[in-house]
Amino acid sequence: MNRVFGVLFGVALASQALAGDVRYAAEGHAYNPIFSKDGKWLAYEVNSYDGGSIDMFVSSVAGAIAKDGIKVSLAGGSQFGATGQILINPTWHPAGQAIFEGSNQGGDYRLYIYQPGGGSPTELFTSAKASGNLTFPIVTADGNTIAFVSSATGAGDIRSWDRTKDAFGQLTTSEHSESFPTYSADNKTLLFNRNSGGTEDVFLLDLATKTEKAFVTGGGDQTRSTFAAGGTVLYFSNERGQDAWDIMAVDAAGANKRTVAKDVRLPLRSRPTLTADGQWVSWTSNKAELSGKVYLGKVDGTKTVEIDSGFNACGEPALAVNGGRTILAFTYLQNNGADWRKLTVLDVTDKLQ
Amino acid sequence: MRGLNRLILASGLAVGAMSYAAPALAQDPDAAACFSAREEMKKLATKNAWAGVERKYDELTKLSCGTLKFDDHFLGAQAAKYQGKTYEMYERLTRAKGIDAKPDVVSELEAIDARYGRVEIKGTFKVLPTVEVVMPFSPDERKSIEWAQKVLVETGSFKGMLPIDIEYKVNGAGYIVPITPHAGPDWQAFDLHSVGLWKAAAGGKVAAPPPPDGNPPPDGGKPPDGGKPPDGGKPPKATSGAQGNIDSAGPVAMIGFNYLSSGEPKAPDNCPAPTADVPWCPDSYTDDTPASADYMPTQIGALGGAGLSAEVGAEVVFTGKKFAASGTVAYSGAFAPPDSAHLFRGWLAGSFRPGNARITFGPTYGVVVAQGQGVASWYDRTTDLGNQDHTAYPNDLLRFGGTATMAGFQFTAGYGLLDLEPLMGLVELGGSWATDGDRSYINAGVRFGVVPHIKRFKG
Repeated sequence: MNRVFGVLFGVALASQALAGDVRYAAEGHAYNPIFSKDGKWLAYEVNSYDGGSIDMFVSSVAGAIAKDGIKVSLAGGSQFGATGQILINPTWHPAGQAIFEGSNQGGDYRLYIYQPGGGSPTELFTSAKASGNLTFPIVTADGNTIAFVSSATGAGDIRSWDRTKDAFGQLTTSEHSESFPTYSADNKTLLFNRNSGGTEDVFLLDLATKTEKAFVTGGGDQTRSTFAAGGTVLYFSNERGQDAWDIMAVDAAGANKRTVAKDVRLPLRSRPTLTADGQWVSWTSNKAELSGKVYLGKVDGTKTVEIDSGFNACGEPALAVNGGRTILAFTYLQNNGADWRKLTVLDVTDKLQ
Repeated sequence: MRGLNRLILASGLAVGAMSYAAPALAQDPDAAACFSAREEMKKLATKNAWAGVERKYDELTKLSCGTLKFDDHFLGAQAAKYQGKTYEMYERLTRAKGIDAKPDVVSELEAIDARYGRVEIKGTFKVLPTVEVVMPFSPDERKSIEWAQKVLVETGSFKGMLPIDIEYKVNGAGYIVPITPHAGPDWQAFDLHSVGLWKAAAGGKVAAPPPPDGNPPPDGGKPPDGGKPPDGGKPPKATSGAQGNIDSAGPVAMIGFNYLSSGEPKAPDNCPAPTADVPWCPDSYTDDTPASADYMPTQIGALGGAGLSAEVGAEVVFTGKKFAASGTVAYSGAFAPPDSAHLFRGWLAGSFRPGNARITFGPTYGVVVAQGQGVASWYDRTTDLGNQDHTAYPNDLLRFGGTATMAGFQFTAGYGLLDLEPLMGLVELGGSWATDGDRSYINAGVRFGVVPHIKRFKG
């Protein structure tokens, strides 16, 4: 009897220990987890570095438990066995659909939309409507408009599409390369990066007047900006040095910068991740001795919480609220000799009290 | 050399296998057609030619291919998806799942369950339903709505699946809320008759829509968001919803053969019963010479003859594409020497035009011009010269000639065989009955010609 109880207890412990891991049927490094707006789905990339394919998976998340990932494949790939698909940089529509960049067989990057559980993703725009490489999709909070970078003009200009009018707009027309567009909560302004002179700066576009202004400039790159609570803008900066990345905050164009987090591990593609209310930001450290820790910090700098994951090389944090609970996803190496970076989710609600 | 031998052996086996399979396919034309359709389907799918895949799937369902396979239904579902036919996609995936419940099929069905609901929208034959909607973000959902709008325009009704969480305003008169499969098996019905749009087409008021079956909208027909329609807060206007009654119009031209028959008129009521010696009705007529008679319908004998017929006119097809009206003038000749008759008629007809068929019925009015020999057997004429000498002037030899007016009905049933857009070539059988007050004229014939082509929707 004791033996049976011991086995059952052992199984229960094992299940509990594995509960946070996100499983997927692929070998490769997990990168760039992005939660849906309601926190119920998690999209992430898996890169095996063997032939130019990057897979994307989507997992249903309930609390700190993620179901096995569903592989997302572009039409023609899964059905007829083609390889060489690259599916990256997901974002989420408020209605629960993932929008991402996809490239099939080395072709152009196009935007695709995927309903979790709904078969193959669909190309968002035909080439006839929007030609060239389409990248960096971002959707407004009301779900009516998407902005993206199009290679059709300039060195990559930002365009938009309004679904209510089925109309495209040209938001930037510079000779420089733009990236990482982000709408403000009221959809009246758009932050974006512009690369000129070999470094990136943050610009703000007034969508009504179509006037833009430099929001954050400086040495090195000021990049991947996003809006936090109260209109504060967070971004990654390596102003201190090529590999010294910090999360910085600035409250208005040209205002003083302040450091929210120093020596952070720069995510592969994502912006600083925030809680739904925009008050907390999460990061990991690029210091070897701190690589097993994940941090949660208030944007106003009043509080920082350290989570010791027990893993190595933690990175790519993502935050969401799911059923009233705040969930954190991040990638990690099980140990220094681990082959692949894995993905896990944690309920961090209690840490934010 | 060994490699060559292997190649020859393999080729021989392949030829043998083909020669074994070929007779089997040759003996069963449907099996060959099924094989061909499946191969074509796969080829077209690899080219993303989904309309072609759809046609092949349709072929497969009509051929005697036995139970269709998983791949048939799965490819058919993909074809439907790319055209926006979500309900057809759902049905085909369900059939595929019945054969093999593969995870991707199950997940796709679940995704449809979560995002789409059933609706049935019916127009009237005067008013086509129109659905106003702010298009959703997803291309699949947009395609689904665009397909529904196309079907509504082309057919006047739609039964299928539409994405949920979207405001659909039907003819500006009410809103539909698709019923998801999770919510039950019902269809959200919206019948323009039931909301008064039949009257609205003539400028009347539009009634509020009835509560949808089993899934009433949140506010008795107001938009699901609590009353604010997408046009900036204004309540939905009671618009006429009328698209006009005429869908199309064009000429009608027919030519053919006909046979005219008109029996002998009955004798006047006051005639004594005919006998073998006196079969005529004494003194039934008292003027003119007995050698000839005006064409007087009451007098002449039976008419019968065949000849050409021709008809020209125009037809208008009503909105809804099932009914039409035509007005024509026609000529029908009947020749049986020494008799001849020429019928000139006007015809107002209503047409029922399901598919390629055309069935018409309506009143005729016209004139018959006839001449010939032989008056009624009971004919007897008294003149100033005395009674008719039936030996010298037997009724069979009396000549007649003249005109009479007549009214009646005509019916035709035809079928279109040639697509000559904007016309349709058809063959039709027809018959008519008319009377001039004294006798009936029955006409029957076969005709060939053209009528307006009705552009049909092929979903």
